[in-house]
Amino acid sequence: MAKNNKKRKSQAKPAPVQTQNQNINNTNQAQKSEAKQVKTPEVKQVAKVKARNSEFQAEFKKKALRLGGTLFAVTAVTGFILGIVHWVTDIAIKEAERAARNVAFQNVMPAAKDFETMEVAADDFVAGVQKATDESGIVGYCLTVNSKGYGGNVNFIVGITKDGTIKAINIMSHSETPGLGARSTEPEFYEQFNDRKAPLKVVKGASNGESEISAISGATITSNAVTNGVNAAFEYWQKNLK
Amino acid sequence: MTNLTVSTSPHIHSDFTTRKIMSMVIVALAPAGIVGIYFLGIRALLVIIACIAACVLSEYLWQKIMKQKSTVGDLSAVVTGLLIAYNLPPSIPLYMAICGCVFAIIVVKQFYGGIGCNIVNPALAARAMMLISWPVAMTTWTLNGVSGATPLAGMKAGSIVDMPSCWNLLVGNMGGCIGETCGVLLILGGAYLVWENVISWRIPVVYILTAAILAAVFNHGGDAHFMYEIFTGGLLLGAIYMATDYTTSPMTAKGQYIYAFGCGLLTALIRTWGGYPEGVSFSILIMNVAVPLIDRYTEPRILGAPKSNFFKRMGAK
Amino acid sequence: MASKFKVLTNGILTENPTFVQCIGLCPTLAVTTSVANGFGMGLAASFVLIASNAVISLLRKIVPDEVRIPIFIVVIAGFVTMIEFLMKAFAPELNKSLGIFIPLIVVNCIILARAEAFASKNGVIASIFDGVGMGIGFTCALVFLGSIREILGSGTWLGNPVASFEPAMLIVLAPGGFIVLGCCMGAFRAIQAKIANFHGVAKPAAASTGCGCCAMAKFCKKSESEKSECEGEAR
Repeated sequence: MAKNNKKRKSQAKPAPVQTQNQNINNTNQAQKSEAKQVKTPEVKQVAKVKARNSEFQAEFKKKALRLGGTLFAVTAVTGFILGIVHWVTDIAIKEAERAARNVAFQNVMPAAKDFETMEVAADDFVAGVQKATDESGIVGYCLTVNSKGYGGNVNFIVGITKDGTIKAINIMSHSETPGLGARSTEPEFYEQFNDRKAPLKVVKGASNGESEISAISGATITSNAVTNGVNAAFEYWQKNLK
Repeated sequence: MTNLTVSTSPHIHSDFTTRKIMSMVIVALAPAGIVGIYFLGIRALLVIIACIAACVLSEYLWQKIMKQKSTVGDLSAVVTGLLIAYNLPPSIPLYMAICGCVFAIIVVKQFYGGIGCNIVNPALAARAMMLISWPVAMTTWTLNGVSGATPLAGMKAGSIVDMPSCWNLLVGNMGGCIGETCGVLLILGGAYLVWENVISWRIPVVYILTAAILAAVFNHGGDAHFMYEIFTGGLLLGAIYMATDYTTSPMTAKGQYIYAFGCGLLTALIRTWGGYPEGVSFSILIMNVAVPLIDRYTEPRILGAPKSNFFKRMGAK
Repeated sequence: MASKFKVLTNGILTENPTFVQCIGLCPTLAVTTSVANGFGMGLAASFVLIASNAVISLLRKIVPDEVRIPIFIVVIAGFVTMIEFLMKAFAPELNKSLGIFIPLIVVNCIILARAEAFASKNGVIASIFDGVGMGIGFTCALVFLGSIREILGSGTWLGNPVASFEPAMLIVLAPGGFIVLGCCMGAFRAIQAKIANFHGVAKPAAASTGCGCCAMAKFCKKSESEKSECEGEAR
């Protein structure tokens, strides 16, 4: 494109230089010359430039067609191939996602076989509830909790059995400090919640194993966040699901 | 006329070599360390020796491998090791202390060109690196075998029940890092250095005053006496011995005031609202990085040059 | 065939994308927090690299010069999307730990630079060899860095605990990544220089600053004087 422009400009220059002297005299003539078909030198130049212009425009149209056409072809073929790949892997993707979600629920309610999402009102802590069932009926509930921690929300799942025992918790995501609050994902901390009765309290140092949770050293805020979330989930269960 | 040598100025030298300056700093630091060892146990002495040895050895080995002239004799590595040790709790595992020292000397000092070319204070950079790498080990302090929180952690949590008495505060009978606890001796050491013209009074005084006043304004620590603000944590050690490092502090008086104010402001902010109870190391590191900018904007007027207006100096055409 | 092998070893040693060309460093720093992540990313990027090199080399005669970059990106994005679907379906754990860096392979400088510098100017077989070489070089660099960072920073290797000391968390965080990468680059270049010295040849040209380090340096439209003004030292 740049080359074409350059060619046009350099070739258009001689015409104005030649006609400059005769411009004043021949202006009228030049304007009427096309209609009159008088073949003065200036008319010939203008006609030549116009012909070259239309030549360039035709070439440009061809080039634009070629550029646009190649782009369109490549994109279309890529899109088509991607559509096929997506159609082939779609089922596998959905299955993998469902399995990943269920693994989290299975971890907190090992006795259950199936999980069903319940339509419930969310509150400050509880974001969602899954009904955990097996052949004999409801085994318990899995509550998804968001609790405000040190660096942001701590998202975890609490498993509560039919009789109100906290079965286990499973931390899904957090933004806590590595080495401090992030140690909430270590078994030494979260396994403290196995088979406990709410409400629970956080203590520094050793806990009594019944109503106390030993805080992570250096991460009291995170420990409090998780414990408060568990207590809130139990309250929610008491109010709505018992 | 045979023995005339031609050379450029200067033709008269003072005997103020790097080695002499560093030995004066060591003399100023020593008493605080001895008191620290007295209160915190013999392990503190072990940490100090390990740090100094690691620093000196890493500088010597690096310069040997890189085929450079050895600068171990100017004692700057010894001072770095001493300062690193003073910033560590006495129960720190020795391999961590040694890693910190190697990091300070090789990565912060030698990678950038050796003494005089480092961009931040090596001892503080090592402390920050260790704090991030091993947070639990770096924040466990024992006093008489009992581990507990320092007064600063108490002030951050808002409870001032367990604070040491005023006498203990001054003398250093409290939990903390090896060299941080004895405030009185640190101040005496600082006064000695000011008297010997090794450091100027500007940075320590402005820094400490700013930090104390602003922390009171921000209501850090509630009812705690402002003396607690000054004498706990690494404020004295940092303000007197580490913020005044020649390489990483501004060259002009005006620049030093700005630098010290910035350090104090950041310390107060981090101590009140930041994630760590101790703010001195990070605030000095941040201001160290800002020093070239401060130097550029506080360039003194050349004798005889016209007074340039403010905007021209800021770079406008 | 010898020249094809030279193309292969080029990508692993002389023009290693991470340690010599210094391109694609952003995903390098991000995924080398563990060996598994580094290896997974290396494999994914290598697949995209080989496939896109091959296709672009096939298309090189019919792709007009003015729209070559959009066409390259479309081809590369196509392969990356394919990889993303396959990973979501059959390796969801790896997909989760690599996260956003899978789609970011599209703008990985290595792939675009090799497409522009090699595939669009050479035959299909040579381009495939180049892709394989660069891919192996990139993967080796990622596994090497990942090993160092995982052992020193988490105390494990491929998830198995190996360290008896308390690992230094700084190394798996961002600053540690930079420091480890810098030290490895320095060591690599020092060893290269020693080997070159030993053979009596000139050391391979360094990438330091300015135009000298840009992967597009030979194809840039800047004038020679502009380039030499900001040229880094080639020691």
